Amino acid sequence: MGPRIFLLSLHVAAILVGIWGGLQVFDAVTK
Amino acid sequence: MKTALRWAGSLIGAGGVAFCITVLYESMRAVQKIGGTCASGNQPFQVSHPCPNGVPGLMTGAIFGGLFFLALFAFCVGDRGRPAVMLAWPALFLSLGWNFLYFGINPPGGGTSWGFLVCAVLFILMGGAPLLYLVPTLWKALLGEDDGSSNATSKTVLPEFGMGTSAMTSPPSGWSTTATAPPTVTSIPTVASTATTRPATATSGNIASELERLASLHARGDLNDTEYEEAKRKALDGRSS
Repeated sequence: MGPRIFLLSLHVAAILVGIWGGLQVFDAVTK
Repeated sequence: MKTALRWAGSLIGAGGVAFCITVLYESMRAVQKIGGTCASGNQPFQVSHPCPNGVPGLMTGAIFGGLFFLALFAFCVGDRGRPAVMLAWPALFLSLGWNFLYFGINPPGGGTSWGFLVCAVLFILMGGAPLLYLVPTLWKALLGEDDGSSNATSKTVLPEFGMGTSAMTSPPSGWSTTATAPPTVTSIPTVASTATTRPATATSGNIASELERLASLHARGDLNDTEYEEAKRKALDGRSS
């Protein structure tokens, strides 16, 4: 696995975590 | 250490932007579900559509938070990550455009909301058009050669998106430097003549540095293929004479 693919995977993971976190925060605040 | 910090910052930035766009997306949907408008606070009039609980604060926070995280991401990735920074624009407009489309077709009161649909077309065009340009650029950057360093100088080889010089030390095959000839093209004769005269008295060490310098100029676009080959040949001829 090249360094670019590794870093890209990390960023995709960070984005997915961000989306998940956004959904959780929105649900918690607007509940 | 500095590189690790920059990558950590870019990860936090990317995640933060995704977080804020998601919050903005959900907040927008919450408002559209009650007709697309709302009000809250100590109003001197009666509010017919009170805002959903927490949405005004979330929306405001998401806008400013998104800008902050995008700035962090842009700072950490530098010139080479500029296409990725610009992806935030399509991400924002396409996600919000989807909301307009969804509620344009399924408005809360039934029927069709043409106002939402007009916004949907506008947002999708604004988000989709740059994406058509960004995706090939990102794909090319992803497949390009890289030495793994993140301290590339700000001298850009592809001015439209600024890939750093370290990424372009070995240009991909088929990539033409002539297409992005910089305004410093007038300096080429000087460079070429220097390359012509210097090797005559150069040692083998100087030859190597001269060849490296020529390769750097070539990669940067200051020399086109023909000029580079000619200068290199003259440098090598100087060594043999």
